[in-house]
Amino acid sequence: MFEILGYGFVIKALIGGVLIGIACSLIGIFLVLKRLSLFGDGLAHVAFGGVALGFLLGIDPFISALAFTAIGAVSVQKLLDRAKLYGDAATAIILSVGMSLAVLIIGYVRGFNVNLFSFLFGSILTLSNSDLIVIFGVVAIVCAYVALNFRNLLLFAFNSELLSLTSKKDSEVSFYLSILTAMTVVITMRAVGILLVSALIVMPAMSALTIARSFKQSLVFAMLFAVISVIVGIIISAMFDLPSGATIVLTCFLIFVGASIFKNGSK
Amino acid sequence: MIHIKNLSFSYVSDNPILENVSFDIEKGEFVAILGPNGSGKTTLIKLLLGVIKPNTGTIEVCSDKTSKTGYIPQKQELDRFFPGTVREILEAKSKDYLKTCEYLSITDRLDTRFSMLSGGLQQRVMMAFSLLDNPDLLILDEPTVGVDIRSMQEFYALLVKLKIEKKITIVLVTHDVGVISRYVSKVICIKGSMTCVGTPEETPRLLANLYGEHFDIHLHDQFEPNQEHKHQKRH
Amino acid sequence: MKSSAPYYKLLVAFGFAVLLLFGCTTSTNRSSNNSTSSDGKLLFVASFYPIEQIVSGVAGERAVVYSLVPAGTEPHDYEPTSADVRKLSAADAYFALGSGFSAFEEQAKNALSGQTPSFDLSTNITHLTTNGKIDPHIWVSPRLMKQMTEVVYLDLIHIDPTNAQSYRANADGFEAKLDQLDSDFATGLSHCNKSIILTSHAAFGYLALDYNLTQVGVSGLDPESEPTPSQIRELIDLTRQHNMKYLFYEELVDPRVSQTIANEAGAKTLELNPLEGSKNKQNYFQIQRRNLQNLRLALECS
Repeated sequence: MFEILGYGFVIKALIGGVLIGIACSLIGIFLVLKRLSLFGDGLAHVAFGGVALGFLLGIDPFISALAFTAIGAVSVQKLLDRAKLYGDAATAIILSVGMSLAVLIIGYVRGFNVNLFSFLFGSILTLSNSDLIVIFGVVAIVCAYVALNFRNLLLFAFNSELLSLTSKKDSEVSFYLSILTAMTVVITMRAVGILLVSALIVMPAMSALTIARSFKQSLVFAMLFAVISVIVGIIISAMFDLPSGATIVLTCFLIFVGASIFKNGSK
Repeated sequence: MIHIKNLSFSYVSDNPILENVSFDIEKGEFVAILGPNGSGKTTLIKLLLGVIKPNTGTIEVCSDKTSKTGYIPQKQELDRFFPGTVREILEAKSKDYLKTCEYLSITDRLDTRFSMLSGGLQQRVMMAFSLLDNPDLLILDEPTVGVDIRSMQEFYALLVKLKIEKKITIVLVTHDVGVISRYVSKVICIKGSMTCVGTPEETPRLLANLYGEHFDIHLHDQFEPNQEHKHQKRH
Repeated sequence: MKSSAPYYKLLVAFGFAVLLLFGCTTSTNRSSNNSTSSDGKLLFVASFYPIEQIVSGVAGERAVVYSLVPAGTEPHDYEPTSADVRKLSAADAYFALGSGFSAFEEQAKNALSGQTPSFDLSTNITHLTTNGKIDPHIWVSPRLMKQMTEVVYLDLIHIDPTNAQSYRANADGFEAKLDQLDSDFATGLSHCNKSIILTSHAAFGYLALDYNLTQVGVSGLDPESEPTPSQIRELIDLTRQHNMKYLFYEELVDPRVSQTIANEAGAKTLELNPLEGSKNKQNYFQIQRRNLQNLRLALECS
């Protein structure tokens, strides 16, 4: 049953999935608390526009997707700060603008040489060594940022008005958080597919927030849940011959259901 | 403590929010700032906190450089998923939080999730948070909206205690006319270009000036429900 | 590979429906227009690349042939533009593969104006079935291409009988080139050490049948379904077992699945073009000759 672990692609899927799970779940805690659960999904669509733009301008589409998504993420924050829009409305605006831009560019160029969709959507089973290096880099940056700015991030999630009026750090925090989210989203969808972006951002974080007794605990639980979902999901998909991405998502969901039941039982 | 002279501020050039505002607050005073919604109270707080700068005029807060300003924001909608404990929130500001917690008797709640506390306790934690760096000026923005009457009384009693024991100057922005006579030593009413300063007993006259109509306020009543105490116009 | 594909397909279908509605209303308004283009040529619309190749091969100078799916696009990812709908409504004839190759081929027929004839080229061809599904990729076989050329010839003399002679000549020329290609494949692949094609998209069943090869595809017939761990593992095992040095990937589809398998099994990847589109404006014969070259390399032919 476990002889499949002798295959390199499964080991790479496990390593890559665990790393991505850690980054997504850490970012997820802050997005969920800021009511921006769909932010990741919105940015994934913006990335699509970025890829199309990259092909149009002859830039490496990965770089253009990253830049375009970062701009999209910061714009959402600006819409929230300046125009005081609701988080979901701002996300919807950026999502549809990014997507329309992609559709317009595709219509204008009519027929790209490469498949845009396949550029954006990877499968966790086909991670290459260079994918793993990029993922590792992003995860290291996300973890380092969260560790070094833990106090400000906590206050940002707690009451960003308080943070802005006492230390003026809130726009800095929301800026860096947007950039990190953009990086995480682009790399996650490129490496393991769009399906896992929202799932790994929202579900482990939500499960952790339901049962954690402190902020630190919620971060640790979220990472733990994401890592467990990835490992269990990959092993189950290997055992029962199922698509891996979808199996991971369902494992995330089962953990969420478990956390909710545990919470209600302990009341 | 606070000296404001001919202060004007506007976000958009032809729509001034505050115009030619002048008043002084002395050290150790407990001042209430009253005014209708949209009268520029929150803008005034931002000016006092130094988040924004006045267009014209001067604002001088705490001429003594070492003193700090504490701030308690409006009570926000309770986010029941926020997992941070009281200790984590206070620790995020200062490692030295135990004394303040003892003073406000919240030591036994340190490891409780903030979101699990009652509204009154949450406000007390917010006060602890603002007192962490030993300010000598405390600014509060409608701190008791959504807090039950008993906790509200305790909260104001605490403010008075702070004023007496720690010699903290307190600036309270409120709609709650009821608290004024009990605790406050000075009332400042603002509405755009109009500023009036007086004693708590003069509040009805000040408000009448501001709104240009008669106010029938029973100053020695119990606390009234939390809503705007602007009475109906009489034609 | 692309887990969100159904969602986008839905979007595409919706977009198409809207465009058709739009196109139909405009085409009725313009029904009095002469549909032939200004220089007297006929306008033929082909559903995608190989159909376009045959139709322009037979029609020659007599017609302008427009392909709905643009050259560099995988037909599964095709999104119609309003220009497509305008072309359809102005077309003198529409040529499709038929046999349920793709839903858009059928939907496009709704955008044709009243009496415009539409032809399915694959109706008389016996199809292969893989895993219970009809394999539509008949155009990869030069022999079946020849059969379809004959069908196009008959359709054209039906539409435009006055030019029957020139169509016959064009069709003969095109068929001769196909015969040549066929014999090149047959001789080129007759002395090979290996006979297995491992590909990311099982589109080469008819080619394999013609030249006694065996095709093993990564994810069945649909290039868009996500592979499972055991599918990948099976292909790694097969590659090792048959000591394959090369694994094929498709031009218009992300090659990562093939690369993963190749890396793991110590093989290399080579392109095998399923001729669903061309990115360098190469014609059918040029692409097929490169396929032959790569096949000879992978199968170790002498």
